[in-house]
Amino acid sequence: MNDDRLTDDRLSAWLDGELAPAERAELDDELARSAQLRADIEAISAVRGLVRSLPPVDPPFGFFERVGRTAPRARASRPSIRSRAARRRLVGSVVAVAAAWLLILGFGAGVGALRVVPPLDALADRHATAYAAGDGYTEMRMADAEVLGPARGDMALVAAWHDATVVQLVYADSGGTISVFRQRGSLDGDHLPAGGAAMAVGGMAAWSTEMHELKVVVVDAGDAVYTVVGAMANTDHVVSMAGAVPLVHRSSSFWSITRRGVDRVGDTVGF
Amino acid sequence: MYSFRRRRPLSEPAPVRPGVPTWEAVAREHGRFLYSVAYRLSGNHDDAQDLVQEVMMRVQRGLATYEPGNLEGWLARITTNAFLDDRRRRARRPEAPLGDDPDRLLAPAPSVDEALAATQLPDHIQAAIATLAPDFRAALVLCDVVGLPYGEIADQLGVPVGTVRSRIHRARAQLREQLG
Repeated sequence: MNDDRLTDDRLSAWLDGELAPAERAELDDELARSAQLRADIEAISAVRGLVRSLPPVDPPFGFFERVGRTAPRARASRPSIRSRAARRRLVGSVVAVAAAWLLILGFGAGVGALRVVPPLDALADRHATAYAAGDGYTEMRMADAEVLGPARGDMALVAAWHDATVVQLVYADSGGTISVFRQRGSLDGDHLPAGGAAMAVGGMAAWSTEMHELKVVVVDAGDAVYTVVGAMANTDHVVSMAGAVPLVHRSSSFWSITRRGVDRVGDTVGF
Repeated sequence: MYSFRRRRPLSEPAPVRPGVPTWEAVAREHGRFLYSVAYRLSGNHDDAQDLVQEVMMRVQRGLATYEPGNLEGWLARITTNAFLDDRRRRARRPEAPLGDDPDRLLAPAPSVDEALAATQLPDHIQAAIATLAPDFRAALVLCDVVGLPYGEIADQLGVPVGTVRSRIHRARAQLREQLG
């Protein structure tokens, strides 16, 4: 088809009903006389019909929901959120979130941190029955236990138990058995029983005593308190194990404080 | 006599005006229309989605001053303006050549939505529309997809009615040439 014949824009205007009456009458006369012009207008009409027959296009599923989520600044100023009640809810939510963060950061920084005094008599009793469940202790997975215990030692981990607040790791060799008890928190040195002595093991502050023919060493390992219990004959092993418990360095970075805070809040609310 | 009825503080925004839809209502009730116009203008789903996202941002800002009337005409104006703005931006900053990276030379696999759309749409017509110059395409879409009269199209595009008439006709003539 010769393109030149289709340059008369009156043809589209005629089809769209956009010609002024005089112009339309003039073109009507020309159409009546010219078969070529009638063919041209039919060609344009066919294209016009094709475009107009194109169906609507559906957006992908969930598209506008995604747009709404990715345009928070625009959505924040939408009229519906400007109501007094909505703003009150928004302010309440912001305050609640801020309070939760302050709580977490406060706990993480040490405010309200759990202070622990190991129940030495109970732990000594528990050491006596180290190979059986009971006393509220249940078995725990060895893989979980291994990461909590001393990083080195002459004895092998042979059993692991836990109750609500204490993990008991049982180490043994042919010479005897040692229990390593772990509690979350920091050592409350002001309330330890009389008769013990402060010491240092593995660069950590510790405290030791002897009771019921047992050697007991308590270690403040940052975010956990370890109580290592063994027979007096195994004192060297007890001290060695106490010096090898994992020290949790108290990092002052924001995320470390936050992580500690989340852990402590979890301890406090009981999960 | 003193009225106990609460007065709206000056700092509190005015309530929603009667007849003015919310952003959500526009998306819910006119989303398909908007997407169709955007797709006809841009020619593919990726660009259509970018265009609609931009349009919805402009809609959000524009609703504050929108005077109730022909809502779809208003939406079509915003869509067309956003489309033409984008094309002018692209013309000022043409994309860098892609080089010979085979991953770039190979056409990406169509998404599920595109595959579904391909079964529903006369691709050759849309492909022909996509070859038109942006100004011609905008005039054609406003006329044949949105259904606006020439005067309103001229108002939306900021050009004389005669220019609109010429662009629409030339667009159709070029389509006729391409489609045989």
